[in-house]
Amino acid sequence: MKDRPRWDRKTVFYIIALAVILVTFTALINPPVRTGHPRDVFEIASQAYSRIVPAFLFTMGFLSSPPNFVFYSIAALGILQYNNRRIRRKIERSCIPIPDPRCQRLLDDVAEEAGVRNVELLLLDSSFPNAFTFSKGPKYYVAVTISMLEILETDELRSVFAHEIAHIRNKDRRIKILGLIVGAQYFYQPFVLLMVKAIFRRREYLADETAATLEQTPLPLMSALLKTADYLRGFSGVVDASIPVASFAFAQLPRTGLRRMLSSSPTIEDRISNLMTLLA
Amino acid sequence: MEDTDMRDKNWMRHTIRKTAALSILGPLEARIMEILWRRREASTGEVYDELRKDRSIALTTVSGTFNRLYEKGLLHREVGKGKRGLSYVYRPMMDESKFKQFIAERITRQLLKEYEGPTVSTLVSTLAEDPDKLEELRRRIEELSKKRHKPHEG
Repeated sequence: MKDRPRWDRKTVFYIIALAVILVTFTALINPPVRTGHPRDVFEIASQAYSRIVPAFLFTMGFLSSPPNFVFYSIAALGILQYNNRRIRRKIERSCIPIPDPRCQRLLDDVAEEAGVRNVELLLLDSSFPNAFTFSKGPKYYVAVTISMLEILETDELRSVFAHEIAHIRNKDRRIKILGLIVGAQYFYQPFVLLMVKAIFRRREYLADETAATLEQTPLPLMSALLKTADYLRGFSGVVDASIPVASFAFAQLPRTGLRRMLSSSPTIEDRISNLMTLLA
Repeated sequence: MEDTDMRDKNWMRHTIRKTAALSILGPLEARIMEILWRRREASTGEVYDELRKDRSIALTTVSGTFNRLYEKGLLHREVGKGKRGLSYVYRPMMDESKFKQFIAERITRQLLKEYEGPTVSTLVSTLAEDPDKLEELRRRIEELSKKRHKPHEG
């Protein structure tokens, strides 16, 4: 007599349907970006897709035999990595070709102080004041938008660079990837998801603290955060969706309630409060 | 009766200001546009320095206002080297006279859409205060009606 398979097709279908509902619901409550521009719809869809599909694949792997688990996990990681590369290429293509030696020098100084090598500056054409970091092979990139350069003074910009370099030094990229994998594997466990998000937020606070230590004062970073919050209060432009999955964005639009709990980044006000404890 | 008329006129004036004029440009936006028309192009930092001579203002406010004007389609921008390093350099999409024409057309169309009767009568009664303007209006109406009737005559 043949053994009945552990999971028949109907059960797998129901699990997948549940996963779709749960992940879509989470994406609706806490979208990767909020934008009013039609050209970003594809970007948002592809980012959501690149999160949902790995979650499915991990679930399939989790429900099947160990060799299949390895296969599904590799496929899921491949999709995450593909999306990361696609966004990275998009950023490299869209960055402004005009060099800014003053900013590059500033970044080099901060990187040298932190003991991080091979860091290049990328300037992005965006009205949204933001900065983030990503890597390609042995090289690290710190991307900063023109709006950020416009509103910040030199010492504030230096502190933003210190924050981004701190992410590199603290190896936050690896933690984010690990967190995303765990989150995708246990997406049906709200406690795990909240824990992962809380860890991401903690890494952001830690990067602020490291930046304050590197700069020997948290004041310029606090000032940069205040200016960013002030600018974003009346912001009506396009929020660029092209930020690599494994990156931590410096600035976020204000979030409250459930969105705040599900966000990977703390609010700017919380970050300023955290930095104020360093002053005491 | 006169009081009621006055109140109505005040309410109307207030509504027009709220719905038509202010929805197009705020006071700071108007000031920035003035500076840009005069200078033809300027970076955020340059305009900020000029505004700071008259009043205390934050750079984030100026930068945010520039962004709003850009989103409204009134400015063109490109990245250039400004006084404070790399920055957006803005240029008006249209000169002052074209912009005034654009605003007048937009306000009039909005008024005609919302309050057609009162707008036409106010326009005529206001122009009637000056015989030359009334004559010009009559001439323009005649020209327009001639243009409209020409194809049918041919």
